[in-house]
Parts: sequence; structure tokens; C-alpha cells
Amino acid sequence: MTRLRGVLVLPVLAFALATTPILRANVPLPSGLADPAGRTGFFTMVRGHVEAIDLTTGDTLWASDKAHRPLVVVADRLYALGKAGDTVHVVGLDLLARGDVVLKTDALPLPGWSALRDEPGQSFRWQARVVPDHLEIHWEARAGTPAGRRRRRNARRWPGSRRRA
Amino acid sequence: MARKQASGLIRVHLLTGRVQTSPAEFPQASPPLPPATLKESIRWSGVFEQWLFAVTVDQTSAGQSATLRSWVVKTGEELPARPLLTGRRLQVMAGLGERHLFVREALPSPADANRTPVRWHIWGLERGDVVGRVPYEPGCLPGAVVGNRVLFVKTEPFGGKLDGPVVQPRVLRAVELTTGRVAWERPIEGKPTAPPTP
Repeated sequence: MTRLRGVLVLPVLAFALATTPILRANVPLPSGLADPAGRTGFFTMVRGHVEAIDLTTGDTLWASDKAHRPLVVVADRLYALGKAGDTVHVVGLDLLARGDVVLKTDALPLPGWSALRDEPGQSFRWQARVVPDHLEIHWEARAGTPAGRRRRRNARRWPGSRRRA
Repeated sequence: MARKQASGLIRVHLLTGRVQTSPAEFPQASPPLPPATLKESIRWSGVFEQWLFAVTVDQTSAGQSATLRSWVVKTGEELPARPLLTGRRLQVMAGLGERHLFVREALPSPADANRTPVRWHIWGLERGDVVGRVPYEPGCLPGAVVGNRVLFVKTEPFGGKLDGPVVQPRVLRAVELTTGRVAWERPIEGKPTAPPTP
């Protein structure tokens, strides 16, 4: 039955992708995004997993530990970045099946020092958009001296310069 | 930790999951800017659909006055300006996606006898009118407007050890645009931050 549903869904998804030049209808939200209808939001929660939240009531519709950063909603799928150990994948979650994973790519070729979760002095930013058949992810990773460590190092280098009255 | 930077473009086939990579593509043209004559008073500018918008804040006898100016990107034609808000020390922020503007007065001094509650005046750029006025609460940053709700991110005080990773807890707060009532709140991922200087 699941295989039959997949066979039926694929042509619909292919049609949706082919007729959608660039999806800008996903509303960006803090730590997430909303579906084009604006009814459901997908957020990165405290534990780093993704939850689908009813934007009217605030109730959790479903949660997935396989996804960590929502990227884009296309038709009935949410595409997100997922992290397994030190590797990062793109996962596709079926919105009609409470977030079941229906697609998982190979590990994305990202530098080993980049991380999905921003650490002090480290950032990973991206822009995702859909062009026909493809998801394009423009990414940029930076790492450097955390601001707090820099302040303490400067305080050691110039003692007294940061001393408070 | 030495400074590192990397960027790139990843293309994922949505049906097969095949991953392709290529060097990062940078935008060829920079976004249009408002006329240089307004440079001093511009608080925000951005492009939404085919229009370029800018918010200018000018000093008046009553304090400050915020005005929304707009131009057609293709022709450069200036459209009629709209007054946004008049008050003291105006603050202007754009929501995520830059579809809405959030304008408010600064918090009055505690010694001020005529303290009135501060409200966010939320303007939609699509239609150029006010979509809601909701109470301002310190620590709440505007996020986005979805339907008849506006989402704010509220930062909470952090606890725990200062010698380890410090994560600033954050709460997502949905507020009704019509009544200003808090509809719901949910904790979301915290923001890692550097510990304060000893």
C-alpha cells in the first residue's frame, strides 16, 4: 500500500516541481518557516529536532528527530537539513504521514568544521530555493574566535583596559 | 581557532536525492538603493516585488516622524509617501522576509509622568497599510506576520554555568494582530552565545 501511494504521489510531486519556477511562498519564521497556506510552521526546537506546529493553536502536530533545519516546503513534502554524527544530509519528510522520512540524500560535501548549530564564533547560513526538479542550497560557513574569548584575550593583552569601576 | 570561511552551492534532485555541488554563485547586481539625498535619514530600505521601499525618520517639532517612501524599481518613478508614525525616538525594524515593517516609539523614561504603553505599529508592504498594533514587550524581537498572528522571539535569561557553553533560551510567541492578546508560546532552539567577560 505504501509503495502504491508512493507511485501515485511521485507524478503529482513531479508536476508540482515542474510548474513551480521558484518557490517564494514559504514564509520565513524565526528558526523555521511556514507552509504556503500559513497554517503550519516548522521549527527547530530546543533539542535541535524539527516540530510541525499548528500556527493557530500552537499545538505540536508531529515531531521528527531526523530533521534539524527546515529548508523549504514543496507540495506535501518538507525538505530539511538533517545531521547524523558529523555528516549532514537533506531529508524529505512526508507532510501527509506525520513527517515520515521519504527521502534521504548522501552526505552533503560540507567542511568538517562547519556545523548545523551556530556556536559562538561560528556560523552556518544558507538560502534554499526550488528550481524545477532541484533544490538549490547556497551555503556559507564561517568559524573564528568567539567574541567572549576575544574579549578575554584582549583583557589579558591590555590589563586594566576592560576593568570596571 | 583560526578564522575559516567556505561557501558553495549544492543541488539536490528532489525525486532521486542525487547531490551535485558547484562553486558559490554570487548575485551579479547589487540591489537598488534609494536616492543619495535621503541618505542621512534612512532607517531601512528594501525591495519587495517591483517596488523599492525606504523608511526615513525626520526631526519635527513634536519629536520624530517616520515616513514610508517607495519607487518603482524598473522606472525609478517615486510614488506618494505615506506617514508611518510620529513620536519620540522611533525604532524601525523589518520582519523576516521583509514583507512587514515594525515601527514603535522607544520606551519612556521611568521618571516620565505621562507614560503611555508602547505599541508596535505593523505595516504590510504589500498593501501599504497597518495590519495591526500590538503591545511592545522588552526582549521581544519581531519575527513575521502569518495570517492574523504576528510571531515574536522572546529571549529569556540564561542560567547554568558560565564556564561552559552558554545558550540563550528563546521563546516563540504568537500574538493576535487584532487584539494584541498572546495566543500561544513555545520554547524554540536557544542561541549559543559567548559567556560574559569575568
